[in-house]
Amino acid sequence: MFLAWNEFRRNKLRYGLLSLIMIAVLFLVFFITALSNGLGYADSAAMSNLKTEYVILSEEAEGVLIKSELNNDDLDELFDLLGEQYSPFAITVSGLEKVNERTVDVAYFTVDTERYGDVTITEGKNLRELEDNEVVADESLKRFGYELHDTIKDSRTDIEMTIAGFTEDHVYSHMPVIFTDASIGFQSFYRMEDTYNAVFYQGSEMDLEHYDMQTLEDTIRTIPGYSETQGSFMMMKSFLFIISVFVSSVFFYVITLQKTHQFGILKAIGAQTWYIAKSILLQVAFITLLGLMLSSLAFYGIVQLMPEEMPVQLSWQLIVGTGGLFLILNMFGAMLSIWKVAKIDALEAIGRME
Amino acid sequence: MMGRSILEIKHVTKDFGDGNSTIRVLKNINLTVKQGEFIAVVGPSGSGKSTLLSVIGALLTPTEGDILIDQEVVHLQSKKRFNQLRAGKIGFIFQSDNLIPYLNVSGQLKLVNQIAKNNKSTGQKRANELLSRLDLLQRRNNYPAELSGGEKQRVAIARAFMNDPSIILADEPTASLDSVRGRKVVEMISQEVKSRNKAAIMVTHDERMLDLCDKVYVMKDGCLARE
Ligand SMILES: Nc1ncnc2c1ncn2[C@@H]1O[C@H](COP(=O)(O)OP(=O)(O)O)[C@@H](O)[C@H]1O
Ligand SMILES: [Mg+2]
Repeated sequence: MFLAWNEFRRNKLRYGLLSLIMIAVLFLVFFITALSNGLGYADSAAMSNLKTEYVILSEEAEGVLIKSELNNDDLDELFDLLGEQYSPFAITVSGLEKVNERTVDVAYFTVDTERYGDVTITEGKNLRELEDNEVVADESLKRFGYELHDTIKDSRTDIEMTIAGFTEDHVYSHMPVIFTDASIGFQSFYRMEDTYNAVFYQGSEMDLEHYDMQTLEDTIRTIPGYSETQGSFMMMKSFLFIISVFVSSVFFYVITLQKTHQFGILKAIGAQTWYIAKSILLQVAFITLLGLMLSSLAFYGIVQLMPEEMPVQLSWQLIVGTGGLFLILNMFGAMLSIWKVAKIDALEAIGRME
Repeated sequence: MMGRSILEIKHVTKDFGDGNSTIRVLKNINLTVKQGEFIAVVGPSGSGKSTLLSVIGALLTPTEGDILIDQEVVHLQSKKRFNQLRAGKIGFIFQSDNLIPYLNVSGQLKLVNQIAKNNKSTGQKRANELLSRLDLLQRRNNYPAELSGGEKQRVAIARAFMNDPSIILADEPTASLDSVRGRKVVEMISQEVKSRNKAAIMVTHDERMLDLCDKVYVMKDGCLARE
């Protein structure tokens, strides 16, 4: 304590800069991780949150949801095969008309609101409670100024709907999702007849003639670009993490190595290695924790300043986990040099006594 | 008064190996230092004087032979006991000053007290006493970088006495001091040795200090002989 503190006081610039580097590195890790989490989330969160075990697609679709087309005849056939555990599903990408402004891109998820099941509601009604022309929208739509009970108008069909409820974690290809009932009719948006992408099914797996049945996980994996996107985000995050952890622990290793002479003096006057190590560990812990605190504060501040459409996602578990790992590895870096000092004679550490 | 031996050196040799050739810097050294004895070692530079002090002070391990401090064989001890020996029984005064750069003068002494795990208030008292005796009271809040060479050396001396050691090992302690201050320092070492029944070995080049010592040894080519 005595040593650690006095060294800080006498070398303010050196340790100030070191703390600054620590803050910058941790900030970078937090920021990039949050951004890539956010982007990965916005890409496909809605898909992961679909309420089903199995997805049934047309055979020609080869497992890709948006290539699949099922008409009313298919639906009837499937209903006969599957019974009550069945629920149709269609994705339609369109836009909302905003007065005097650009349109807002949205994705309509057309479902049978009676069958689909409950989604997480943050405000207003759930799917089952919807009346004519009422919809449930993702919260991200609020960023564009929409509120509960607002009337929205589809820019291509001029269909008018009322937002009766808000759900969360339903973003599809960076667009807010709007759950609509089949009675509103977006399933016939592209063609004159009803066309669905899939039928959802809860129950045991079956072999269906003319149709493909696959799990939701498989369906997500076959979204075009999904694994490429998630894979590159993952790689970016892991590389950043490994490099920054490595750089910061090597930094502490080198900084501690520079104190070899000093450790020699301390050993010569009888200090045990643990006494020296304690003081170094205290310093490393102090700088790392300070860096952790200030960088998460800076991260929080930046998030407040950023435009709301920027998707950032970072859990406190990740902050704490990252901090813990940095702490351990920085200490390890410092201990590595102490260990080297512990092994040699005090005199060698001091250098020749000339 | 002179009775118990504090330090016994038995057949000590020390080799330094650089690459494939080794040089024998210390050759069969035998020496006994008793309580109350103040010993001087003189000799040409490069003869092994500093090496001898380092071996005695457990900063280097001897290649052969034994060193006993207060009847304990030093190099057979555990690492921990080794440090305790250094912290409690040996006071080092190095050839060049070796102060901790970021501690002020009082801090240097406080550190020794802390490492030796001695009582805080007695340490404080002892530090004040040492600083006033060495004319350092005015400089107590200064850092090594702000001190002159002589002042730094006096701090190193104060530090060596701080832990109340059984034996003081001083490597040319007066080299950077003027002759008045130098003599005062040697007198102080002598006084400490006599009044508290300690032992001291001082390597020196200064012939004028030798009258303050009880015995004078000459180191030559790694061999130690009584003058
Ligand atoms: N660590 C070392 N490695 C190799 N040779 C050394 C080492 N330390 C001292 N020596 C050699 O040992 C001899 C004695 O050195 P030293 O004890 O410092 O002499 P003195 O203090 O009497 O001037 C010198 O020749 C020196 O070069
Ligand atoms: Mg020497």
